[in-house]
Amino acid sequence: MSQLEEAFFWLTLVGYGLAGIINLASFTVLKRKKLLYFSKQLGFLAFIFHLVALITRTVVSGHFPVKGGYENALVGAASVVGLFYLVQRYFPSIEVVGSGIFFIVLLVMGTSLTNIPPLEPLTPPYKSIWLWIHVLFAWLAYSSYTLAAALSVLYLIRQRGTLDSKLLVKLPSQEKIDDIWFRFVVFGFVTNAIMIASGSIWAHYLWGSYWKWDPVETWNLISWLAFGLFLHLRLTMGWRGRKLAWITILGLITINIGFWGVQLIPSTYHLFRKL
Amino acid sequence: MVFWEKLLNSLNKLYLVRFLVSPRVAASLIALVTFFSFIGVVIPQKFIYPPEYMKRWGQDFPSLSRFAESTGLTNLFYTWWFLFLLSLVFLSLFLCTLLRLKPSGKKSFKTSSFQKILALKRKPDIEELKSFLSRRFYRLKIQNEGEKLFFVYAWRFDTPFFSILFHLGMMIVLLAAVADKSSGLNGTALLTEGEAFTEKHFDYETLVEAPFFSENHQFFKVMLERFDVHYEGDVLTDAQARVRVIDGDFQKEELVKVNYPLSYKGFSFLIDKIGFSPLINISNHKGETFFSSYVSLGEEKKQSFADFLNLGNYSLNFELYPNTFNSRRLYLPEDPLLGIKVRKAGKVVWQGSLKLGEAVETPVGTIAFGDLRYWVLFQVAYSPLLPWIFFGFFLAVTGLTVRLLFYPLNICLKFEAKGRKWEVGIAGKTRLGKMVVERELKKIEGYLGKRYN
Repeated sequence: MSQLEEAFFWLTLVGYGLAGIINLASFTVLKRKKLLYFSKQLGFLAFIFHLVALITRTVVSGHFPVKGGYENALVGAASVVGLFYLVQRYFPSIEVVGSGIFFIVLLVMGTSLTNIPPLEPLTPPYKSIWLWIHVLFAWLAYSSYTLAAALSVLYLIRQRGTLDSKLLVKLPSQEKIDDIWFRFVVFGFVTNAIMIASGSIWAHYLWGSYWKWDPVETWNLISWLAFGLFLHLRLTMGWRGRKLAWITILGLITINIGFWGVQLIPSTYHLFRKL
Repeated sequence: MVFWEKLLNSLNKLYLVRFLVSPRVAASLIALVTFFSFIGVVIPQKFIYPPEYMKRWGQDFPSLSRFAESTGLTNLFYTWWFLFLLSLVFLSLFLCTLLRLKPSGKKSFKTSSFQKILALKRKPDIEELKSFLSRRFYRLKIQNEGEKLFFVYAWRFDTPFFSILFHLGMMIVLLAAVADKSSGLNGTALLTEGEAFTEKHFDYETLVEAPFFSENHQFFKVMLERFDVHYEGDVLTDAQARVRVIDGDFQKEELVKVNYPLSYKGFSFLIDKIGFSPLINISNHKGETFFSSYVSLGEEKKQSFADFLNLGNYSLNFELYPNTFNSRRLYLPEDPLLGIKVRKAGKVVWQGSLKLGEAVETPVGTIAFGDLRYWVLFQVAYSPLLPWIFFGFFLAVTGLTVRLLFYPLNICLKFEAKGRKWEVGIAGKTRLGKMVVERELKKIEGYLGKRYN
């Protein structure tokens, strides 16, 4: 990690951390709407720092960050926060899930510090157009599912109704949460499908096999099936609400195992150790 | 058409068919595949993990490993019952797709209350309205009821086509994958620069043929002409093999790289591993050469390549040190050193080293180190149904994208003359959330207000 990247990385972490705390405090302890606005601005400033860290990494290593846990976390977290701010332009009411988003991102970026790959050029397995298609859709899916899970937690909180009534007023209606959450699942499911299909084509060119039941592949299939189940239950069986919220949370856990658990799996092709 | 409808109707009457197409069963099957896939990653699989890992796992969890072994959970994805489960998923997909082809009849639009009511100063022009809605991808069904009241019904993407396309794509992927795994081939071919490999059973280094491959070898030749590597610092950034395909009178040259395999007649040749091959010549005391071959040395440990050779009572160990400095770079060394150990009955009877072009007298004969070249281990894969699998992916992804991202929507507009003005009621419905409807209705409202007020 270069010094400039390191400085901006830590500024990002601090920024997200503070933004998350202020966001949470704004509708729990202090209950001031102004604080929510402040948290949003602070989070955005941290996002700018995040992008600077990412660009620095790209310039110094000579390639877009796609190697190892740290680089993937750097891009993954940026895509989650980026999508969060993008969607806020159209659905401002989702700003209340900011604390959840910032804390998830903090966790992802913090744990990635245990696996920082050296700054070096890409090895031959990474030189494929399919890699870029695969990772682009992976990040889109990952960020959509993360936002969907954050919204499903908000849905569960809203549904319990045990919260202070003043606080409940500040939260978006259950119907609205359900609507946005569902759309994130749909977008995540489609991008996840493209991610799996493009990964399979890449695997054919790289390993000579389009599907190997590799643990990472299988975990991603599990996540896709879990969200497929979600859509089936909702669209064909008319399920709504709590149970689907839990399926979304479970789906996000499987996605995280697929992405980050890869470093713990002793035998997977996804570490690209071979030539 | 009548026959088709009769067939679908009679199919629909069968209990087994109704059972398999029910959403509950489809959801349960997805849940079961999810569950068993989960088990398959929690319990290490024999075909992924090396035997030493499986052995260690067995020692760490003796009862679990015994249970997993006896139930086939260590080879879960290839057990008969998992394949049976996948067949049920396929059958369910197939029947759902088939029954969706049945014409669903006229779509009714029951709307108890219109979500938006607005007043217009002028009577809307039907033709203009038609072209506006067509631009928004609606199929129109206009129902006129006199001068004072008329309805416009329209639906967008509300067709089972894309859902069928997705299910059809998934079916093609599943079916083609099973057929491909049953008729494909997986092997390895080891080639030293200048050597040729013939696509026949005994030229493979390792070979796994699927049950229906039936020795369908193509007998074309692949010759490795040259191999090159490129490093930036100590990081390998490029590895490329120049190969020549020879098939009867036909010849072609290709550059094979990682991610860019050689593809010929459905076979793919991928660079898997590389190493060094010294040319070893061994002659007896009369000067007659009885062994002359490139010996492919595998990477034994960091910075050394080794292999052994059995020659009657003797065994020979070769170890090559390509670089004298601390580097991971595998350029063909200019001044290589070949270490040799001659063993008899397990005991070392001679040891020494040779530089390129040197020869030495040993108990087994005169050993000469004649040349040094690269060897490349190519992974060879034959997937005859691969185009179908990719075609299935394409259909599935297209169907899914249109089905889920381009929202199907039904709308109804009611125009009623109220004196000189017109009152318009707009209603819409979709299974994909109220917000979609609200946004769409807002756009229609905006258009009508701007145009007729």
